[in-house]
Amino acid sequence: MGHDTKWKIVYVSKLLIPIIVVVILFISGIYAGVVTFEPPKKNIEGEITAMLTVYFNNETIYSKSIKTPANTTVYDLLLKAAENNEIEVESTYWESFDSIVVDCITYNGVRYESDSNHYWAYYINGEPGMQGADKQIVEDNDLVEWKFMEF
Amino acid sequence: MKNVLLNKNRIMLGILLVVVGVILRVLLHNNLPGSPSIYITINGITQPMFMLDLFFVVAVISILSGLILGGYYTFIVPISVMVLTDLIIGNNWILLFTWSGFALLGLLGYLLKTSNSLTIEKIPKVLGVGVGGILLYDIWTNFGTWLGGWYTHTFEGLVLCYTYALPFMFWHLLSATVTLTIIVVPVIYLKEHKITIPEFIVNPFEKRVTIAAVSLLMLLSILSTIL
Repeated sequence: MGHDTKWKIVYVSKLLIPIIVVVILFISGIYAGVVTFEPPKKNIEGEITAMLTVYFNNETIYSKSIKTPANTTVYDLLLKAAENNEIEVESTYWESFDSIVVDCITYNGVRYESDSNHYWAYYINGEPGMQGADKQIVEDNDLVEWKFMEF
Repeated sequence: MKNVLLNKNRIMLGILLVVVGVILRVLLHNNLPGSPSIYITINGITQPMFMLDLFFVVAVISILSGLILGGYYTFIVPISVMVLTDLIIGNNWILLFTWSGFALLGLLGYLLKTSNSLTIEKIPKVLGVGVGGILLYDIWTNFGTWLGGWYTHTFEGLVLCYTYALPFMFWHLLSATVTLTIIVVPVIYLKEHKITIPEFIVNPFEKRVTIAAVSLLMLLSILSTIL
């Protein structure tokens, strides 16, 4: 085998081998069930009850027990509370994080808006949320708290 | 006279890269298709495998600016594209991390240039460094997301941060690698055959300033989350 041919084989291998590895990993992922072509099935049956508490400050607190379909997210729960117009919610979808961020909650005519000193954070069963509110699913009897925090 | 002409060519090419980057980023913003129906489950979290964004546009522009122009253009071109388009589209609080991430990609392109990698034989190396650079970008920017407090400052928070970043990373790798191949391979071929693309010589001072500027931007990114 000439030097040229050997060099060409090595050169093509350097380009092809990574592509082949990626394809093999992808196919293996499909067989292992890690990669699927159907969105995750949600259990749409049943209802859950969760307690929603919104802390605007130490004196102003909104609290409500809410019955909602299973697979409701923390954000959906807040919107459900807003359906009866006791609170109003404003939010923004952040494309870079693929997540919704609550910007403002209005209660009794007072706007509690995020700014350079304040932000809205949620807690679920006393623990700070680890993901976007529109990703965190609420389970039956969960305690969901929204707090108007200071930096 | 030759130096002036070469500098003029360098400036014009830099401006061209910025203009192309701005136009593409603004035009394609909000015009990308939705995520394909491929889902991946990692760490118990199922999410779309690809989250589409316009990373590949600025990434390839950044690498090209370093690969062809080198020197100050390594960070001026990508940051100009980001600043101009962010004024129109907007950005988020980790903008320093994304800007410095693209400057880092430019720097990698420049290091390839200085190692005389602009030859057909070195195409696998160029693509390999491109892939490595994309991974580095994602690790860096998501580290900024975690550092900035979007996730809890624990190991679990960090793992969750990178888990949710995977769809973006897969898309970045796929889109940027394909775009890089389509653009850089012909550029290298043209350069090798001395068609159109001149050789821009970068003096050592400019090289040192370039590396320092990118490092400073990365340091500022970290400081912006701590302070």
